[in-house]
Amino acid sequence: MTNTSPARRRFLIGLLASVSLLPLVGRLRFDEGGFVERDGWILRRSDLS
Amino acid sequence: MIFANAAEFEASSFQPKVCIVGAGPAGITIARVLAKLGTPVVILEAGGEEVTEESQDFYRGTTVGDPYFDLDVARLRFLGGCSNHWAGWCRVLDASDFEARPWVPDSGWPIGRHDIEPFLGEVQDILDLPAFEADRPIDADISWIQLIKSPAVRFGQKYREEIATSDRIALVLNTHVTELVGDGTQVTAARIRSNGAPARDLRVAQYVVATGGLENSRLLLWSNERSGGGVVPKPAALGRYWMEHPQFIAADALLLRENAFEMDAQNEAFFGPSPAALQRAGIMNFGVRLISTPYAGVKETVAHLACTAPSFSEWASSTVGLNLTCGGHLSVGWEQAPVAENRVALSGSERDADGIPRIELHWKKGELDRRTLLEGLRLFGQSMARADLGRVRLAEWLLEGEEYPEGGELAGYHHMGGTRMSNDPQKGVVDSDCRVHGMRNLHIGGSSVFATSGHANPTTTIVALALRLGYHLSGLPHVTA
Ligand SMILES: Cc1cc2nc3c(=O)[nH]c(=O)nc-3n(C[C@H](O)[C@H](O)[C@H](O)COP(=O)(O)OP(=O)(O)OC[C@H]3O[C@@H](n4cnc5c(N)ncnc54)[C@H](O)[C@@H]3O)c2cc1C
Repeated sequence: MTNTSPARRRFLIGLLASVSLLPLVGRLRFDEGGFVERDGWILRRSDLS
Repeated sequence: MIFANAAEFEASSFQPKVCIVGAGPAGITIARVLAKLGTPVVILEAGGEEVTEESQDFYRGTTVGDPYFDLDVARLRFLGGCSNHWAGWCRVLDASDFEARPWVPDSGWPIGRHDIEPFLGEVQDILDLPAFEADRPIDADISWIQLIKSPAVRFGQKYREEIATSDRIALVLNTHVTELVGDGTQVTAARIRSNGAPARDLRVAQYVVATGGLENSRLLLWSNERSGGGVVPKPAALGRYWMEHPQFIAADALLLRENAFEMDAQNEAFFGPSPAALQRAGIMNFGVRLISTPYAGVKETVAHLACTAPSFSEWASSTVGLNLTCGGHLSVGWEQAPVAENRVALSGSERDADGIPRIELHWKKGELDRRTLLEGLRLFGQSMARADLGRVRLAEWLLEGEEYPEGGELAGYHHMGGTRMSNDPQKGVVDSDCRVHGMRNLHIGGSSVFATSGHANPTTTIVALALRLGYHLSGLPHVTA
């Protein structure tokens, strides 16, 4: 997760800027299987670390 | 032979042993088997060779409960039936769909998939299908499934010539059965109207009702009411356990690996669960359709993921580059829980041009349906994440317990149940041979006999069951030529 190139960084900054308009409800739900649900996303716990 | 009306048919000296009501995929398939094996058969078809407003009007009805399509739009009443506007998606019900599942009340067929498997080769020929392929597991829970596309065979067109030149099939157009007459042990006559006027009753050895997944129930309910129980002597389940495949876009997905799945010509891929996963989750069967969308449509989803899990999104984009932008909507079509209250009933106020009550369809999705959608998508999303194929985002309305969205897909136009198959006449109308309980000479063709519906589009299984019924009928002593 390091090594972000300037181009990629610009891409991510652009993305983050565009989400500022999205409503964020911040729902969080854990389950036993090593997954976590956040804002509707079904993620691996490691996705959030 | 094809006759334009009942009068022309009566003028011929043709003596059928079997009367099939309805010339859709089920009726035409049953007739072709019987004719091939030497039995003279008549098919009575309500419509002509083209769609007309007058004929469609007989299909109008009302729905009580959840929003549903207009009933005269959801089906076609002319030669070939709904095959005139079906999409051609084909898949046989899964073997586990036939089994009784402790977590699904009233599940279980009296036959298994092995009972229809011998007919699948013929089904392929009839529907012009490539070979069925095995599903490809992603993990123990979810497989990439093989839903195959027929060229959407129009039965009326494909088999017109064969029927026209057959000396064992008489197809009578513009002629519908208004009522079957029965004495509680057998049907004694079919009451008929042709081109808007009454025609002579038809009396044969065997009757098959194949008028479609809504109309089968209507015709039998009306006939039974008129004959005081003489057509379906054990009517507890008649019209009941009606089912659709509810269908909604309920999630988005981002794919991390390009070419993880081969998209079909429509840029779609299909997924289904394993029986063990369904049992663990305690839900109905379901199918997930990934509808791939171009980058512009996915951008907001990518942005949302970047906000929810920035480090993951950064990792993903650095690992897979901009391929992360590949994704789409997830539409889920699922097996509706069989519930007796979902039913085809006769309207108390609305009647068609013959004075016969129109359909009043009582249809609602229940708690198990909602849970199937949510937990099914969770299973799918977890499998995608586990295999690092992608990430799934559930729709807000689904998580928040809000109403199903209106104006979307709603359902599959698949009309199932109403005369379901069961060994128990309290739970079903036909036995494992599709024979109406208690009736010697009345059989049913079509998806109204489905005891449960799986998630597969129904017509492949309808045609397999129709072949099975055709061969069964041809072996009955009073039918054999
Ligand atoms: C828009 C749409 C898309 C679909 N897509 C798919 C798909 O992709 N895959 C799939 O598997 N299935 C699909 N289906 C469902 C498929 O069309 C049906 O499962 C199939 O046509 C059912 O065949 P059937 O013979 O049982 O009934 P029908 O096709 O409904 O045929 C019944 C026939 O009986 C006649 N009839 C009705 N009443 C009488 C009467 N009283 N007397 C005499 N004749 C009568 C009718 O005119 C009709 O010809 C779709 C349906 C629709 C509407």
